[in-house]
Amino acid sequence: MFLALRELKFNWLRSALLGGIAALLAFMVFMLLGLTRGLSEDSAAWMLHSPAATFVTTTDADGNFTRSFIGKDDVAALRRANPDAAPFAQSFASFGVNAADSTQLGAVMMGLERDSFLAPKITEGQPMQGDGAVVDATLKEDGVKLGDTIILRPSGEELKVVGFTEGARLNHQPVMFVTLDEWQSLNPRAGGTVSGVALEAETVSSLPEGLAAQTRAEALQSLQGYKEEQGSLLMIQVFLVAVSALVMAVFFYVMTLQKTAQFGLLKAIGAGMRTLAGSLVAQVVLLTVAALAVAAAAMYGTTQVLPAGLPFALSWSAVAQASALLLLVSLLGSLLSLRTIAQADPLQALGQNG
Amino acid sequence: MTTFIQPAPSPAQVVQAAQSTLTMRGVSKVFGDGDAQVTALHPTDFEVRPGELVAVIGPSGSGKSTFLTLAGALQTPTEGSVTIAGQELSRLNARQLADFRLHHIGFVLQASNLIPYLNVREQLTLVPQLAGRGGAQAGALADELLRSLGLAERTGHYPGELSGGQKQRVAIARALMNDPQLILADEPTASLDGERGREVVSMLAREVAERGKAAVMVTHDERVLDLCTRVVRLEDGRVTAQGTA
Repeated sequence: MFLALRELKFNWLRSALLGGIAALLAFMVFMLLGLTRGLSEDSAAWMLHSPAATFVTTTDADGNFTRSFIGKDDVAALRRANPDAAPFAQSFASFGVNAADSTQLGAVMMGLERDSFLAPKITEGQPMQGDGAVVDATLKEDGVKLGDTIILRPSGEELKVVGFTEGARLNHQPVMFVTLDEWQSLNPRAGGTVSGVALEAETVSSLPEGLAAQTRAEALQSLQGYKEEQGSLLMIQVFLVAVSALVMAVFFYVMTLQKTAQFGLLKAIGAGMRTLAGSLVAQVVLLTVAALAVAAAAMYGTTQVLPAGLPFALSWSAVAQASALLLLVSLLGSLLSLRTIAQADPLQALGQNG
Repeated sequence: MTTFIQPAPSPAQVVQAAQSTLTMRGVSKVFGDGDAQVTALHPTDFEVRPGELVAVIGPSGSGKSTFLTLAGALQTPTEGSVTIAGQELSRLNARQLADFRLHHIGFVLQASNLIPYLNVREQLTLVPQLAGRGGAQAGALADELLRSLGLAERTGHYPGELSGGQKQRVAIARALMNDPQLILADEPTASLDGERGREVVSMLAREVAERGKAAVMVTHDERVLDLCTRVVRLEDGRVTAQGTA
């Protein structure tokens, strides 16, 4: 540790450059993780943050809410066996705000019972009631305010914005919550059916014929486009972390290679493999931890100035996980360098004379 | 052979002198095998007693370095036995050898061989620290050695700020830190001018005599031989002359 610190301090410029590169890499990893997670939030926030553990759809819909239609009798049967069962109905809506010919907006229209456990948390205004709708706060960016009138296309039915909620997005669109009764009256073609039934419990008692239960994770995979999108995002994250790890490992390796003669000298004056390896690992850990701290601070600063509409989501626990992963891979990378230390020969410290 | 010591030894050193610190018996080193065999050192007998500074000279390729690495337990001989401070080296495994080197042998390496990121005092205190014996005692010994070698004003300087002669004196002080019985010096005057070279070797000779150490110095610098107790000449891996300077 003594040697590690003295060397880092003496070669402060090199340490700063190396740490700076590690910090830039970590910053890039954090930002891209935040952006990719933001995208994934944007496509499924409502389900990701839902208290529901299980979703029931018709078997033929295979978990896809928009293809599932559950009849009244089945809903009633489910509710008898599972008191907390919360039916919900989902459709898409295009609408103008306050004037039929205003810029058209889109949303997922979600019909729910206002006292069910699925009901949205109101951050502003009142719960939905009658023709009063609760909409996701991201619609504010499109100029939607409390008390505005929503004019549905194409037939012109009107709803009032009575409340806002947060984190309600599905398929990259805001969710507009109305009561289940209102939804049924606006969607007569559904014929009284609902799209799915959500349960807080992990298991369903007495599932009627023709219905299938899925865990939330399974239902997410059935969400339109979610699996494909997540696949791409996951590969981006994997490549990013792998390349960063490789770059950092190579940097530390080159740094070690340059010092082979010095390792021989230290061995000649009595330093053991354990001392030298400990010194190298201490340097890698110190530089990486410092770099991660700088990168996390830089990321925090950047998120404060990011435009509000940019989907960015990164929790401190996710930052900690990514940091631990980066630290682990740089330590693995330094194993490459340990070989160089093991091979350093104290003979090299003696001159190459006769 | 008579042992010539300068200056006059204390009585304690004379008692020690009865037993040699480094003994090499029939030591040889052969590299490669078959047709490609190269004999770096033919079977050689060699002894150094406490208080002696022995110079090993010879042209490039004469086997001087091989000789020093064998004496320093850095390489094992093909034939023969090396005994340092009563310990037969062939009885030690690699790990024990490293530990033995640390405690019983001090190396004075060429001028560039200081650790660039440690100041002069830390160069010295690092040695006992590596042996797991740091602390105030080591610090006091370091200060004493630096004073004795005229480096008291330079303790906080880094190698890059020292002259060649000063670097070499630091290397001598470092070699003495673990109180080894044997000191091995590899071309300590290589990068120094005549005057500085003499100064460094005379300091080495003085420390060796005062502290009762045994020392071997490989050199091709004929100007410092008069400072040594004995001179051994190597040519093509054979000792061709051995005698007082």
